Amino acid sequence: MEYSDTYYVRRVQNGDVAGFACLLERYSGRVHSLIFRLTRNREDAEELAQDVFMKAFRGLDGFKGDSSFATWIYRIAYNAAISETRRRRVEFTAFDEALIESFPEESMTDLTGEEGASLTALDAALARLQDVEQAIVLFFYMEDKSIEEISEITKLSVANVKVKLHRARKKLYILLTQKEEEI
Amino acid sequence: MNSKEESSDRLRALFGRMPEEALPVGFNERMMSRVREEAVRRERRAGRLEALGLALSSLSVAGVLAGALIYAGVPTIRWEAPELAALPFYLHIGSLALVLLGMDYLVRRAYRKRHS
Repeated sequence: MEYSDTYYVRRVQNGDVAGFACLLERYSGRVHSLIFRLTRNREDAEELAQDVFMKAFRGLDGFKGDSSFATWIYRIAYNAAISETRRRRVEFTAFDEALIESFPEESMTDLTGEEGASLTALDAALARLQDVEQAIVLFFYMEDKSIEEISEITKLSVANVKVKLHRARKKLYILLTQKEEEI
Repeated sequence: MNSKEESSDRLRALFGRMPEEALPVGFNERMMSRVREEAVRRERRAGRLEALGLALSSLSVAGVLAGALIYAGVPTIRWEAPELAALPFYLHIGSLALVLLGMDYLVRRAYRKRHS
């Protein structure tokens, strides 16, 4: 029988530390993977993921359940990863605004070419997006989060998340379908 | 993003094929040992805080008491030795009561014996 996150959260709040192991089992892989994709450094990802779970454990007593545990832990992970990328001053590709604006919407449905099919190309394209855009794309596509959930995690407005996601998708399509010198 | 856009979103298919980054070996075990250490530390901290709170409250009670004694004045308790002049009278009355009580007991016992 699988218990809900709330059940394990209550157990930890009542002093049963073992309850945290179940939450860890459920989220460690996803949180680590997300942080790794944002920081692109294995050691940093492990250290940050540990910090995220320690922070979660310390803060669990104050967790009221206003949002789901998943949203809460992703928010901690998101903040940690974004802080890290900003601390390291990771440089992102500057896109030509005119190119993004002029990129036809209908082109965004076709990624059947060799470039489009390559996961390596997708990963490289993802790395060239801004940190927040990368996070939004990962939440949307990898974690299957809704726009509202992403808004809750990132503390950005729903409209802002929509705009950022739309722009990020356009950038990805541009990077995956056009030659680099055109960007 | 509207539904039409979403259904034709090839990125979703691509991301769906992207493998999840493997968790470092022993990550959960290492994490749990850190969590247990933290729980023990937290328990000790709570114990120390409790002891500190108890000491502070005891000190504050003692302080308030000392302050009250100093500033409000120490109450003087006087004890006077009782007057012993009336003692023979009370001894006389007491012994009389005891004799009467004893006589009452004996009369009642004789009565019960006769009528049982």
